Amino acid sequence: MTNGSDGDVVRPVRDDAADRRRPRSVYGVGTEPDPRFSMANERTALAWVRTGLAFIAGGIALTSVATVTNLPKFLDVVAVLSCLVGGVTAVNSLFSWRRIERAMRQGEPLPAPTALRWLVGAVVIAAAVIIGYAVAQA
Amino acid sequence: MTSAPGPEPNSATGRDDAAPAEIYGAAPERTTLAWQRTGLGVVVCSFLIFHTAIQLGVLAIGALAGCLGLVVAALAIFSFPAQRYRAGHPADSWRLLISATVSVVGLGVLGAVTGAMTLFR
Repeated sequence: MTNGSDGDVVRPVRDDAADRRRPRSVYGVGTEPDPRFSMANERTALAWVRTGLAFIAGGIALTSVATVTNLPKFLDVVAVLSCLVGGVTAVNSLFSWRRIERAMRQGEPLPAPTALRWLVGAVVIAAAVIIGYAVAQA
Repeated sequence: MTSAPGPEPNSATGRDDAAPAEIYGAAPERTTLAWQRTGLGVVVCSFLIFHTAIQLGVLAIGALAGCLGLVVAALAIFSFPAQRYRAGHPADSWRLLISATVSVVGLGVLGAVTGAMTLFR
């Protein structure tokens, strides 16, 4: 159970199964960070996935409303775009998780959340379109 | 690689025999719940697409969305990590993250196709 000489800190030895983790571009570099940080990174990735799901649910809700009411066509376009943005957001979660995990393993500063500004932009545009439509109808 | 997963097991509690729950606190539980929330979100979103597609009479998209929801529900029950977190080991989360992402991308495509069908009706 030790990997150091007498007087060193006792550390449990990682089993072989854990060494086979994928992707090797992440787990093949650096040293194992605090599991709490890895778990936090994983939760952040899952939060991005859920944000993507929220975009998709919003798009589907618009589509669903459009089937029972007479909404203008551009709201259907917003619904399609919302679903596509949701998919892209989910894909971004993978790249973001990979980048952050690598940085933690190599002891580097965490990369800036570049996708966040695009996400905020997408939310603001979607909100502006829907608010604009609601105001025009009022 | 033979290094330990993170800090020394006794660093947080000052004891050598500390259980993982004492070392890592609520982090494993929070992560497990995050997985379950994500799975639930995928299942609910699948149902939304299923319902909308059936309303539109597009049975193929409805069936695909329904199947996707069932697969992710099964994953949530049988595969989403809980045991390894409780034991204090980081899970091999890449495979599951890819599964979740592929599911969401699939739902996004199905949703976009459903929306496009409304658009061109």
